Amino acid sequence: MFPRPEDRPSPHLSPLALERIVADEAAGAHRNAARAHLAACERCRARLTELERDGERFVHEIDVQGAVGALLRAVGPAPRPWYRRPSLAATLGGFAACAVLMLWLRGHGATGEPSDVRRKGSLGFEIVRRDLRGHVGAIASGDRVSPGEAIRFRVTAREPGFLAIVGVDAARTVTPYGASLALDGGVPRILDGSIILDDTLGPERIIAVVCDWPIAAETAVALARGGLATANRDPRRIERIAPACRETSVLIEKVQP
Amino acid sequence: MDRRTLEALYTAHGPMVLRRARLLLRDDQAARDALHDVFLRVLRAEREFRAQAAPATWLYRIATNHCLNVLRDERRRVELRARYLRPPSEAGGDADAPIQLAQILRHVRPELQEIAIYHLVDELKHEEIAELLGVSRRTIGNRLEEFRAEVARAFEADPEASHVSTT
Repeated sequence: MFPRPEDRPSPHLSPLALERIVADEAAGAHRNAARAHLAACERCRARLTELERDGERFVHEIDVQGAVGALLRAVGPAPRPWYRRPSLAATLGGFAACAVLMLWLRGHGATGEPSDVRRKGSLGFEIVRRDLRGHVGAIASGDRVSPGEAIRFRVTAREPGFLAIVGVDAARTVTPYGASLALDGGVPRILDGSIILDDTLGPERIIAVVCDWPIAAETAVALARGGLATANRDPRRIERIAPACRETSVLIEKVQP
Repeated sequence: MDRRTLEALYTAHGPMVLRRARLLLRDDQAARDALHDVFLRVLRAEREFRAQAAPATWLYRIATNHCLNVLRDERRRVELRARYLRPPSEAGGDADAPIQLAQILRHVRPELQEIAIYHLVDELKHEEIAELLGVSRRTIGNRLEEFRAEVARAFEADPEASHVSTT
């Protein structure tokens, strides 16, 4: 009736294998094997081409915006996450944190807005430094810093999202400075605590990534390592580490004081 | 999930989900309904979806199981069985898949149906099915042996099925 399960090996790529290729999910040995097969198999190349054309037809056949609207209406409005619900305690706490930061900056001679606010698209990323003499000011890419100095981060995203910050230093060590931090759109967020710069001299790239979903520290570290590998292990040459997210970075040079 | 992200996901993976539904349900309106329902599930299980390293592969399985649930629905089974037993020229599409599918639904317990679909309809290798379901290759082999045994027992007991040919 039905042949034994082992008796029907197909010489061609399965529908699942082809779908993975279209979705760019085939990886490693599977991807290499699929590519080798496609190079030699006209039938599978034709099937793959048909899948790709089907994707092009889809947007003409289906009213995507209408369908998405129907889906969103079906689920209804999302409940406000706890960090967006107004509460007196949270509001007062926020004002208190800002007041403390302003006093710290004012007390150490900082004037006005930091001069280097790196903005990539809708993302603003500021690094404020307190140097060994206690002076506070913003730092720009290429600035020199020294071990023992303290830095803090301030991030502003036009659209809400989740923030992760990682640093990649000259020793190719990747350090997470923050992960899965919720950002409201248009509201600057100052990360808690200062980071004391360690003894590793040379360039360090500090990367801020904002995604539509929470990024765990392990994920941010993995992304940065991937970016470092692509940059031939040179932090100065790291480009985008998270193409699906908003991203910006600052490159500092750590030198002896 | 915001509208822009959902539109991007729908455009990227909707074609695959619709293809799957058309193959298994063989009814365009039912397939479009399945497309909607699968993405509704994505929205309602957004956290689970976000955790997927391979979202298209996850959706492939979700779409398969959703279509199996549709086909198991008692009310639809009658009309779909009638459609599947029409000559291939009227039924359209892959003539072999729906005939095998009808037999699966009639004679196999639900937990074996998904594996049987992947093996018989999609012709996935055991290691592909194992990876898709997150079980060992040996488990897949065992489940398929169980499937064969159940079908053999069912056809011995159900002479009505014997007139449906297989390839």
